[in-house]
Amino acid sequence: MMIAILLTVYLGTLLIDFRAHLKDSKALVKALYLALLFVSFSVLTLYEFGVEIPSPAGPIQDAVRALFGVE
Amino acid sequence: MLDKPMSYRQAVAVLIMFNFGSSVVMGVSTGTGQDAWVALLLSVALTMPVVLMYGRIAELNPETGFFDVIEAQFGKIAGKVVAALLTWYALHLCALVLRNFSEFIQISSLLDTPQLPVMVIMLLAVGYLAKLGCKALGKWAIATLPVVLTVVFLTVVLSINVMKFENILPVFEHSIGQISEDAFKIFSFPLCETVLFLSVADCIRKSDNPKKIYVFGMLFSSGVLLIIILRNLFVLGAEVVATEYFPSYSAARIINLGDFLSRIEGSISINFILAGITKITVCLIAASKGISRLFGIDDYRQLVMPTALLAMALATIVYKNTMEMFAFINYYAFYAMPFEVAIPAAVWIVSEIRKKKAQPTAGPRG
Repeated sequence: MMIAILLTVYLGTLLIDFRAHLKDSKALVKALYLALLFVSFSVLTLYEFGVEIPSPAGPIQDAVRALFGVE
Repeated sequence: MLDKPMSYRQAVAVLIMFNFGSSVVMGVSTGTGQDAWVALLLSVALTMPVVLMYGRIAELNPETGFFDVIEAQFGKIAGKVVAALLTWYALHLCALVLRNFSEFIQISSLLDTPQLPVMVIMLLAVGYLAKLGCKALGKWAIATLPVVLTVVFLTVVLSINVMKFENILPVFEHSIGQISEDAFKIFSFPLCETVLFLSVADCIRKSDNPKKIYVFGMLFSSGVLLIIILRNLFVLGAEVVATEYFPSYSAARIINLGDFLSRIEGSISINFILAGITKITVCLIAASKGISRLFGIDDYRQLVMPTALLAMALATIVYKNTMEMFAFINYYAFYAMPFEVAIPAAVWIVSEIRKKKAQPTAGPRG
């Protein structure tokens, strides 16, 4: 079900936002747009398939602990 | 500047709603129990010089985006590095607030619903608002601020009959060190998060004083946060406030006027939705502007939707559960310092130096 929601959201974004508003944009904008979409879609799909993706919170907490001794 | 400028009132409303953001429901750090209000007042005193610095940055660089200012002051390479750091912070904060929101909705009302659909619905509204630009955001804030204030006022008035004013005693039970630690946490979350408001400061009209906007917005929102802290303290007591994830919601649940007015805690959810949308929109605009600046793209609005979806992906993986989310607050204060104080301070100092150098020196004539 979650995958269906994700596909709907991403297809909707491509059809409504990308196709309608970025038709005449530069290639760089289009490439960046698609790259960002790809990254977020990959993360969300992997997450929904149960793949554990490392959170940035862990390294941030480690760094704060090491620098400031916060527990 | 791509966007139409915001009026003074709109800018203040955006700033106030940004400050309310998640704090209006999650409350501010209450590690000092009944002394939390002292910690809030102390943190406001600490924040004032910092927000004056933010205001000064906007004043020195009128109608200029924060990321443009950074690149202009630090040069191309260093500017890109600093802009990348701030972009990360904006994206991360966007994800954190979004996650706060979805966790709150799940805990308070939609227990069996996954968080993803809630985030999607929220992001569609936020993405649309961000694409419309600063002027629309200002109008949104002006329209929704009275609703939030009315709900806060109503919950205070209606809970008077269940308030125990002795809950505030004993005052100063905690040491100065503990209160200062709590004040430091409130300083970084939510008060100094307003650094991201600088990314929409290019929409402030040249005739409006950004320092006034910052100071008034900060004092007003701090005043309301103080009322919220005291309401929660009087209604729930220090021990319960400390154990609750969402003390404002729990305080509102207690309100029961006879048989005809109960379950008004839903109104607290409305507050979170309205203020949350404003805060996430500002973060999203900041992140989109940052990414656009990094890649030399003129119109940030073209990248709003993919940035919003990236924030959603980050919000999904950032915590495993609610406990992790609240545990992160202890680290957040230290993590946010470079973004909230160090980088703006560097931008301010360089801006002042450049302004002094640019001014023609009035030498003696003769």
